[in-house]
Amino acid sequence: MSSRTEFNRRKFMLTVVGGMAATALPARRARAARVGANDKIRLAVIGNGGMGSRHIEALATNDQCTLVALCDVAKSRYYNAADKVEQMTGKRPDGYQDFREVLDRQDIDGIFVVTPDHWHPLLTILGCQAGKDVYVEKPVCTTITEGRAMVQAARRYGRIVQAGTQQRSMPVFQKAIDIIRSGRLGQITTAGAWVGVNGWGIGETPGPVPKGLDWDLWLGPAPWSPYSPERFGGFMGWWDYARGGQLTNWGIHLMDVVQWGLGQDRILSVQTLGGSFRGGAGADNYESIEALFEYKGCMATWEQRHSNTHAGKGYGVNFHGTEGALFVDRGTVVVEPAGLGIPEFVGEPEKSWANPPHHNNFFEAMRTRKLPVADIEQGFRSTSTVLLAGIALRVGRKLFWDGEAERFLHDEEANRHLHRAYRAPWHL
Amino acid sequence: MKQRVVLLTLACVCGFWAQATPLDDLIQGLTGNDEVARSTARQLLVREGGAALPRVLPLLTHEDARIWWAANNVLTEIAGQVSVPGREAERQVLTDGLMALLAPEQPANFKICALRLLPLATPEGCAVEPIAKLLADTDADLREKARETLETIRTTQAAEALCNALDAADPAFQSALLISLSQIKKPFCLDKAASLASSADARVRASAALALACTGNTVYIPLMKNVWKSSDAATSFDACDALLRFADAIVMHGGNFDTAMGLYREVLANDNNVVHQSGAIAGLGRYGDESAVPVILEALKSANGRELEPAALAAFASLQGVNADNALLDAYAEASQDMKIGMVAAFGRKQDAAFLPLLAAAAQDADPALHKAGINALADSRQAAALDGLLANAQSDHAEYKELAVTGLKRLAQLYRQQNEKEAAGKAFLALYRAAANDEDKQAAFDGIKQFPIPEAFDVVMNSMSPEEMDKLPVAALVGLVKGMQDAGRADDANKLMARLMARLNTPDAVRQAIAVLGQMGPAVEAAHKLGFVNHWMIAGPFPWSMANAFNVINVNEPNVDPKAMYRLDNKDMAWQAHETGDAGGVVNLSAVCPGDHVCAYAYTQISVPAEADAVVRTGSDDGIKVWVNGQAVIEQNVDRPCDVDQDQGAVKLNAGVNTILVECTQNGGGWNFRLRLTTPDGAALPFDIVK
Repeated sequence: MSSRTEFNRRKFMLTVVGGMAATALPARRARAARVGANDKIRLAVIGNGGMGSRHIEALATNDQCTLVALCDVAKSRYYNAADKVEQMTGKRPDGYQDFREVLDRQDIDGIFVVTPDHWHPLLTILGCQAGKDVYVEKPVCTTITEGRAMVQAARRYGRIVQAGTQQRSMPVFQKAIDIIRSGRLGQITTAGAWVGVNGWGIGETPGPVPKGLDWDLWLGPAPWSPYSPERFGGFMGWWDYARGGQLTNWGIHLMDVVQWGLGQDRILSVQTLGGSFRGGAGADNYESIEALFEYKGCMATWEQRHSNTHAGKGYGVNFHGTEGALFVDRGTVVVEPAGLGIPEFVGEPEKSWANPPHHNNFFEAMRTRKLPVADIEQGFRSTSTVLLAGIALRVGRKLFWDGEAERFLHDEEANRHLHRAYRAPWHL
Repeated sequence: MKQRVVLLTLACVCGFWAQATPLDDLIQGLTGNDEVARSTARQLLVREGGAALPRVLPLLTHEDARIWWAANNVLTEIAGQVSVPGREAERQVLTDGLMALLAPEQPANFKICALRLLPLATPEGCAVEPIAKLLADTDADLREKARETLETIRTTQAAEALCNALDAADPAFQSALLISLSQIKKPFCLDKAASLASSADARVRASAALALACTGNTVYIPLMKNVWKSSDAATSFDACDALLRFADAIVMHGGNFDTAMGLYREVLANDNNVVHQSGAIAGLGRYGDESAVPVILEALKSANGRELEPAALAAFASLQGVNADNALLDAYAEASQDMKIGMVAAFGRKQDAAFLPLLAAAAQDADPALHKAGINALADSRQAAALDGLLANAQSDHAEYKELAVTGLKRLAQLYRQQNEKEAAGKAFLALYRAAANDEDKQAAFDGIKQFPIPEAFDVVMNSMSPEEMDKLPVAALVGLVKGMQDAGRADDANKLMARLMARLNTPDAVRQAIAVLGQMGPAVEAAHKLGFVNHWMIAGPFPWSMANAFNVINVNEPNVDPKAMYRLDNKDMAWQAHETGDAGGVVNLSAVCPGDHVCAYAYTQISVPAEADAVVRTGSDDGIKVWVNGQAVIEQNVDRPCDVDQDQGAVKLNAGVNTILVECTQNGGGWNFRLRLTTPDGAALPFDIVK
């Protein structure tokens, strides 16, 4: 038992994992911490940029946890974030540039992985191997191979891994799913999700690595490339770091809801069109994308367009049933026709993209060892759907998916895109 | 200068050269300063496929990053397009062009450009020597890029190249090459990996073991064990991880179950590292049988026992099969009270009915900790039979037990609702209703009962609610309850509630459900009458009709018809004929009475009411319908539609005594029928008599 967690043994036995997660190979570098029902959870946030700073602000004021470490390859980021936490709480978390030092600490129960996408899989796996529970932002992976390895690591090491698909914890989406499950919309035959375009331009101005930034560590398993502010600050536009841009950004959130509503998380086929038609738009990842997914007994669409609205909503999900249709976004659920007698449901206003109920669900899972609402298997499958759309866009043809084998049918060339080679010494 | 040489070389190799084609404009767009033109060219050049390659490939070496990157993106998509049967020649042009950029005299950045694209362009069977040579390059970055490229290509030739590079590589690169081979999983590489499993370098040995792990080939057992036993501090994790993955693979391949279990047991017994032991226990739990139980219990008695408990409990939760269940039940009887708490939690998550009696007993145990664990485990079990145990605790005086149990009931109810398991959801919501301690929970439970009505819920509805409260409930849900009671053989109760509801059947949904329920409760004609349907008519038809004519053609002197009159049509006499529908929903099937297409028919009846009354005529029709009451038109719908209840309505004032009703129903094709009922203005069926 770790030195910090000499808590009452009976309390642990009451909250310890049973479940499907098989505890395996605990710590690579550190002993697995055990969080009791009343222990304050000790956290580190790896990646302190845009989304990382939102998580840090929310976690700093959550009385279930203590932020003990912040980590970013850019020193200025964790300095600034630590300043903010100190202002908010009076306690200054330790700062690190190299995540390995964070994983080596035996007093940390869980890590938040809020880095660019290409680091999500490996940090999750290494976190599991170090005996940490992991909250990983979406997209959880950039390839199918990575995603499956993440699930295996979570199970092998018996760790809790929550995906950052926080809409699973929002009452407005839970309400929408309840209505769909009630059968009042009839048989759902089509769903559609939409949002605006990518915001990332082309062009690159390579230059010297800024002081305080470990560029080689930022690249990590991705192919080596000279530093440029466009890569560092706009990673979502680049295939090496994000496989889809908006498709793998908002696309995960909204297609996750589509799959939740349909009760299916494995597509049958996918077709995708895309383009960057404005001058100076889109580095690798296209601005405008439309994808059509086939599921058993129904189909779904994804749209990212300029000025994209449906009934005045700039993003959202529609479900179309034989008896009625449902719209949901983070604010409201609307069902038509009115004759169904289902009134509009208005959710709590979203205060931050970092969602405290989703954090709390992660903490509850850490304490009880039950699977969280956005367990890594589900997070992986939602991520897979949009990754497969990105591959269909790359190869320019309809692809048929074998969800059980996690391979395309009859298309070995497309199957090459399911895997990426890691730059040594990093490996899955 | 070098760029020009490359341009010329590529053009010659490919056998093409610039011609005055639309390609010129696109290439100009791709290489010019107009960003919109560049994006258009990026889109349109892909359509050109192989024809564009001789012009785009050389642009990979352009010094302007905007241009070579745009070329890279175009080539990426062309590579995808041409990687299908029938376009092999185009693909070959691309592959050759990229391979040419790997020539020794080319600068490193050109080679890197080519290495990025070659994984997309290199088909099975294609020689990869230019890439393979880079595995021995003096530039470590190029060596690494070449390894990454070959790992992604994944062809037989790529695997051979990686394999062949092993001998000359230094230990660090050997390790990286072996990791690549572990991803590609080509059988012919295994001998090489096996030979390196005895390397002097521990990193190389561990990487070789990872490459062999997926095989599950028992021939490698001595090697795998040796790597594990000879690992140093830096590699012990990878080495043991490889051994455990190897054991997993043995199980998955089948036929050597005992061997695999033996490997887990060996790690558990001989490796004093808790993390390795925990991994072994996890393997025993994932794949083992009842024989794993005593092994794990023995490990719990060791010096590391307490730290192995989480793994042991997870393994107990994973073990499958009746024999394993029995072994675990036996083990539970012998376990310490502390261990029992953990085991109950694990058993709950097995979601196995065999453990329900044990969980129910735990949920009544005198030890508060075990009692609470039992309540939680009942909820985790997802068994409908667990509801009784939860309800008992939810109704207890113990605040903590009560709160846990209510929470558990909520979870189960929501789960069943999400899975649309109607019976279980109804029971769970009913239990929650009985246990709810506040208005919010009670309302949520009642909403669930309404959604999933079950016979047992009748008493709750009848006993727990005042008439005023009941009147607020959706009538359709209450009719559902009537049906549930009827199905359960409680006919008297069903009749009572149905009688009470008759005055409230004011929505089409409620009427539809009532038709179904009443149709089962007694004769259909009675059911129709209770709902206000007119079931006795005099019918005349068919008469020629078209949508264009609507109701404008007078056929029977409507609205002043004489049911004794005769009509002559196509040299045939036609009289009014009496018809009584036996349908509980009052449907008059005109197709059976006077079939035809593009025709209409008339239905006439007389009803009497004791006193003057405000009423509503409600009709449904397939297709159009016009209704006159006492000679006044009250409904007119010239439509083509299927028939449903209460599709149209018209307010009328009925006279005391006899009133006439005339219906003209049109037939555009397909089914042909109508139904008509009379209600009070608030929707309740209006009592009336048929005048025959």
